Amino acid sequence: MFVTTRTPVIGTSAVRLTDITRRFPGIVANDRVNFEVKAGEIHALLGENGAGKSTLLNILAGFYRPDEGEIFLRDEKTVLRGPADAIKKGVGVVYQHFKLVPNQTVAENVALGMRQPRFFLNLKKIEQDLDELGRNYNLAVRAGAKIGSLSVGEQQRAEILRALYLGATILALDEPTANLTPKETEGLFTAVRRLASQGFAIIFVSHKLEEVVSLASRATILRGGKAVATLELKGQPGEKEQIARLMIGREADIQSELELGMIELLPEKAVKEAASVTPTEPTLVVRDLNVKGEMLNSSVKKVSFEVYPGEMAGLVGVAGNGQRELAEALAGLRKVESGSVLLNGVNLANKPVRQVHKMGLAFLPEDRLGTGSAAGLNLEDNFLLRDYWRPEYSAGPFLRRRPARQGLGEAIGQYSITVGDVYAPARLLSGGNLQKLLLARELRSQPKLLIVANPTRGLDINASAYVHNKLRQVREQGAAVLLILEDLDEAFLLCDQLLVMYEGRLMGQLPPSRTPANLENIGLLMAGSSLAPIHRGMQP
Amino acid sequence: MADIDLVKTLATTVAAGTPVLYATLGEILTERSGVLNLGLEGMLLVGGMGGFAATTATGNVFIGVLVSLAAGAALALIHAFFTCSIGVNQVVSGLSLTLVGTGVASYFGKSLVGQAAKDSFQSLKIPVLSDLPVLGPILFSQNLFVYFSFLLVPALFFFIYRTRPGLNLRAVGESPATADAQGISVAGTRYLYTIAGGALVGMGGAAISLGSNPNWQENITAGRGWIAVGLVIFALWNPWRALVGAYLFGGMEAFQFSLQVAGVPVSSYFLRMLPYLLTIAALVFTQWRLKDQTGRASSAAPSGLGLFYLRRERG
Repeated sequence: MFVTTRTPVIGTSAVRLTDITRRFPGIVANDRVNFEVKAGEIHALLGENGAGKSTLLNILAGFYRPDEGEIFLRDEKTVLRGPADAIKKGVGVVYQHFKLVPNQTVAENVALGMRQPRFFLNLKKIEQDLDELGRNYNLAVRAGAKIGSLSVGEQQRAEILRALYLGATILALDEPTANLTPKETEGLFTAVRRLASQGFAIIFVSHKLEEVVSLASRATILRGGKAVATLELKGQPGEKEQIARLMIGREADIQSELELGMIELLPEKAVKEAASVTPTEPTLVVRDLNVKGEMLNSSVKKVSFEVYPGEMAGLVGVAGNGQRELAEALAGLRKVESGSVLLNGVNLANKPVRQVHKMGLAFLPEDRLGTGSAAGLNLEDNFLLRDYWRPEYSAGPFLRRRPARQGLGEAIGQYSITVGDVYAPARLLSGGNLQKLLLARELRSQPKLLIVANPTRGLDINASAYVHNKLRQVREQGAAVLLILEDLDEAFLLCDQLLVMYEGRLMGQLPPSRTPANLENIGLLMAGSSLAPIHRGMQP
Repeated sequence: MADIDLVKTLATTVAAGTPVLYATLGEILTERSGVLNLGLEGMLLVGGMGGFAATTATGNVFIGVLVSLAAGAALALIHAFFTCSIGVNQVVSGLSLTLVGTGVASYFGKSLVGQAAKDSFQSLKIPVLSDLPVLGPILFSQNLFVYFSFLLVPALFFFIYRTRPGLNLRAVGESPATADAQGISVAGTRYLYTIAGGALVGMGGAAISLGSNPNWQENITAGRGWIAVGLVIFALWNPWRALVGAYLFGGMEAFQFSLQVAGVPVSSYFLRMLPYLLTIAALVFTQWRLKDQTGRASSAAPSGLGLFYLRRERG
């Protein structure tokens, strides 16, 4: 087997990057970054979206050559000529969006990175080796199974096993817990700690401070492309605050502390929870909904729930368990096979999208640039996309541009959208500004039900905080809000109740509290087990 | 129905299906790498014309076949350059390749029209095997193009599914980003198999003009290139199914020919439509069947088919 050909001595330098600079048109993604990881160390790489973490990883993976600076692997100056070269030199990178061929087996995906034997494949041998390797490192995967049939956690283990099998002694994990159930996260951490104890150098890229502090022994913080500090983590109080300050470049206010998961509740939310005991008619009632999904596991099966006015419900679960299909069916974008979707008593199932809009439903998809907007059209046209047919904006077959321009101007002011030119294509907007524009468009008609999928994916802390506040505001004004969330922390931060989905079924409904018992229950439901009978009483 | 010699019809089936089989196999190889080449008809014509002209000039059919391979490969190289280096839309580039190929073949083939091939692959009875009842005359009294295709189908199947280069080929077609991250050159792989596929299509042209129909006429391929594009889908990108598809087309061609010879009172124009109609029907049937089987993604088109791959800048 490949694995033990290099035996790293713990404490020696595994990776050293000195003064790495990488420029892209109009931006310096890495600006004289210094970064060192020792063998046997778990080193966290932290930073906001756009701070330069991905670029640094891509340099280490051989995807990009740095414009300036040097790379040392095991104290030897190295030039990485490409991904193949990086693999050969013992670097393994596991990206957040896995690089696996879905309709090939785990073993075939591993064979892809190998250069020997040159012509014939011996998949049986690779499968046996992977089984053994998986047992040794607590990373069991069915090596003969196709990637597409594996859970997200298994796919991640397959990626890690591949890196190990190909001889990696330096392992970089990019946001590895983003899509895992709490239990899977625990398993991953155990495996990572064991690898480190054997001399592997682990680079742990994350923005979750809690995880970083519990796992890593050192952390390097990137901000605006620069490495602003490297800290020793000793588990002392105040470390998280220090990291947060370094990440956002100023003292963290209460808002950013919330976003970083450092504190748990806004005071007014706690108050509101105590006070909200006025039962009204639910805004949304879903009954026995069946929807065909992209895959068998993502078909929605007999889902029933309701959302009340002034309530923010979070649909949580590992991605691909039917959440997206459910949201699309509610928004009229996917065919409902059977069941009903009642919005204030009116059945919306299989109604045309415009009628769904008219009934007071607004939907912000996760894919902001593809589904949420027309990337090539300018902001004004995108702003009009939902409401262009209303008399406000159209006179017969003609568009009324002046009111449109006025409306967009108002929105830009109200939502503090930063734009250079309203006639520039939407794809040039930053993620945060685009999300604000979409919110402005969807909220203009004052919907009774707002559905948003992963509202802050890819946004920086300021934009996230803005979006979160806007969502809270919509709730305060009495609308029902349904969020599809993959990030549990975000769900705890925002929601009044959590609906857990697994393989297209609604497994249960739980409060968003962080008590250990509740956390364990959420983890159980996300992984498909049911709860002890006593908890079932909470379901409607 | 008029009396039809079944064994003879089946022998003609194999002969008539072989050129389409080469074209289909070539396109399977190309599409497996994620490149859609709609220039098949053009490559088929240029391959057939090139082979025919070289044979006429040298009197040696083997040189003719080599020229066919080279001609198909050369046209495919243009497609590879446009689509994998510059990022031209694959459909547009393929369609123009058909137009260019058709033009080139008529221009250089003008003086050859109506001539018979100076040399060609004649039927070659394989000792012992050709004496078998029924199978002998159908399978083992054919020309070299046919025999070579018998070897090519299992060889390609083995190559695609059981070897490392085959695995790399499939990975590049399915998920170019994954292949790239594992150090496989996406553009290099696509160039290689676009050119190799083009060479096979060129050979398909030779299988017409130097094999099943050894003479030269304007538009001698009669749309077989387009049929092959459809058969790739019918074949679900699998060489064995390509064999079935190609013989289905060949069978219809042989059948309508037998009907014409037997003097069936139906317009010959209509009869000549039959193979094409059957191919469309087979295609529709395949697609319809696929719809029911969600989750069997392995049998459908390569996910990266038709998409230009560029390593993402900034990410």
